[in-house]
Amino acid sequence: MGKKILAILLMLLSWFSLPLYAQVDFRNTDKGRPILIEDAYPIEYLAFELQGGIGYEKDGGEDRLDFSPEFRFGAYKNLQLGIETSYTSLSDGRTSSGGSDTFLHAIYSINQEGLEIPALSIRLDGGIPTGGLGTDHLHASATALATKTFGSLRLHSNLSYTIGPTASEGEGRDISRYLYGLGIDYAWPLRFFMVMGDIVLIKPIDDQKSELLLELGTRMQIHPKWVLDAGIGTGAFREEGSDVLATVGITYIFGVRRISY
Amino acid sequence: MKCKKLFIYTLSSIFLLISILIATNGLAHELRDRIFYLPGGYNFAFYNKHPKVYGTVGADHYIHAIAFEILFRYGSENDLLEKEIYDKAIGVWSHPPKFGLTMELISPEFSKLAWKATNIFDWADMLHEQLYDILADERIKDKRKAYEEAIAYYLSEPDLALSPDAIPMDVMDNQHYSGAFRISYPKFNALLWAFHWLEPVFYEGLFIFDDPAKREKILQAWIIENNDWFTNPTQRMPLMRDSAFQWSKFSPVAANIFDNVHTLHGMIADIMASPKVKDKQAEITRAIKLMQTLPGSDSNNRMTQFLPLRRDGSYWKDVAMMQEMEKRGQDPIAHMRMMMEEEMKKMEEEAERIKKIPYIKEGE
Repeated sequence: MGKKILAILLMLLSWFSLPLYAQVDFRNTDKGRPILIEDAYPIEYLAFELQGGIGYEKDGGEDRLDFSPEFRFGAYKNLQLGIETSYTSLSDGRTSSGGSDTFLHAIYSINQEGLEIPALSIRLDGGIPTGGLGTDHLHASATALATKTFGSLRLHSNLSYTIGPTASEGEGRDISRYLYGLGIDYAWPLRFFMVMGDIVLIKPIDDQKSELLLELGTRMQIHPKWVLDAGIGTGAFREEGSDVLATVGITYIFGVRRISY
Repeated sequence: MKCKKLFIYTLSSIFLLISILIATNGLAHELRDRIFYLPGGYNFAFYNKHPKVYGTVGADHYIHAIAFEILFRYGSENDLLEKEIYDKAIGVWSHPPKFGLTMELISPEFSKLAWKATNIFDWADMLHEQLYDILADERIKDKRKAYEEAIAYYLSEPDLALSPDAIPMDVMDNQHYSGAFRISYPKFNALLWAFHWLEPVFYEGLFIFDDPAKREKILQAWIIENNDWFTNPTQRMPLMRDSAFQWSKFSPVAANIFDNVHTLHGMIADIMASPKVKDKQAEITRAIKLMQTLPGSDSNNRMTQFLPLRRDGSYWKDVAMMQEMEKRGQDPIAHMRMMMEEEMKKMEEEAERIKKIPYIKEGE
């Protein structure tokens, strides 16, 4: 598995060493970077985006460390396609590590937000079992995304349902049978900085009791090409939730066609 | 549990219903249609070589966008633009943002009213950045080819691109709402016009000077000079050819596009500021259509040639006169157009007269 991590890192490094040209919109939020609830906007047509994040989760006596790279691109106007996987290290008395499921996704923006109607998008995800710490089955989910803006403040709603077999207990931590969450963010556009939070209800795919998660995060543009994010969360006020969650990540957006004169 | 399921089913049904209504055009809506810029070896050259100057372009975008946002949020009869927001705009100009801004960030509420206009301005700002970058990057030897490609990319989106032809600036002054912004918000309008001078001189500086150090020096000097344009504006809106003479010859199509962008901005500012316009959305859509389809003419060239920019205080005199005429129920813009036309005619006649003076050789 160590070789897999090395391969992923080398792949990322090779991307970063290419002459890529980029501009990041720090306001375009993405699932898990740093909070679960995302806005209803896909990335721009012909834009490519690489993300990497490290997440830490403490759940009772279990410590979990994830590395999650994601690649997405604007495949057509209003359509985003992406692929994401993660590599996890678990420590619960003994240490085990391995890959989780790999997810392919498509987000299609139905409309731009208007004076009355919010921005709406549909997200489809397909989960493929690709690692020892994932599930043993294919899963598919559909998510309805909505965003409503009030000046510098935005409200988001994500509602998702997954079809596919119930996983064995403790497996498929990245997949929910259903998920419903409300998110909020506030931006300081001249400082290229935003804070965000969400509250999410998750029914795990292994049919355990549902969890209620609270997250807070921030995103900041540090260069026209780069955005940093960081977040914390907890499900501790319900018995079934994790005690502590923390994540940091980075996003790089670019175009791939180079023109030389 | 039942309650939770009912809640989720209800939400899903609402989402589905709205989506179906949108998909079947039962609900008026626009598509987001955001498009990435053209990747090129020159991308971000302007930012990398002249970061402070680049920041002032961000301030320019902020000032243009905030005007629309305030007019939409607070209506056409507010004094924020001449007071608090004016001061804030000067603050942003003095401490410009580090990176480029999209209009949606600064005018989120206006963007909901007129998304297409927002997208059009951001698309034009994308072209601005490309063209500044090409000039700023000394490695780009064939600048003409790079320009042609960047402009072709801009024009490849007909919904977002404005006409590459020289649409007469007169169109801005020929509408029933014309002049509303200048008459109600003369201080803020002067700010906007100052940037219509600064944007082109950046092009001229980058085009004429090859040495980055010299460029930086001259661009910085023009930034300082721009402060004076806020309070001592020109009597008419500057055109690209007024202050980027050489660059406009090099790329007349780009000059036309940006003049059209400035004209459209002026029209939308007037629409938002005019109490006469009740359906702002429809009027903005009409203005966009005009700026995408009207035929070009030599009118702007004629204006540049025969009505040179004057900074002799006549802007303030004109504004005072227009305000007075409006109070009396007269048409101030028609009067201004007539005066400008008379001035141009006089200048043309003078130019003709000078042409007819026989050339006298030394000693004759």
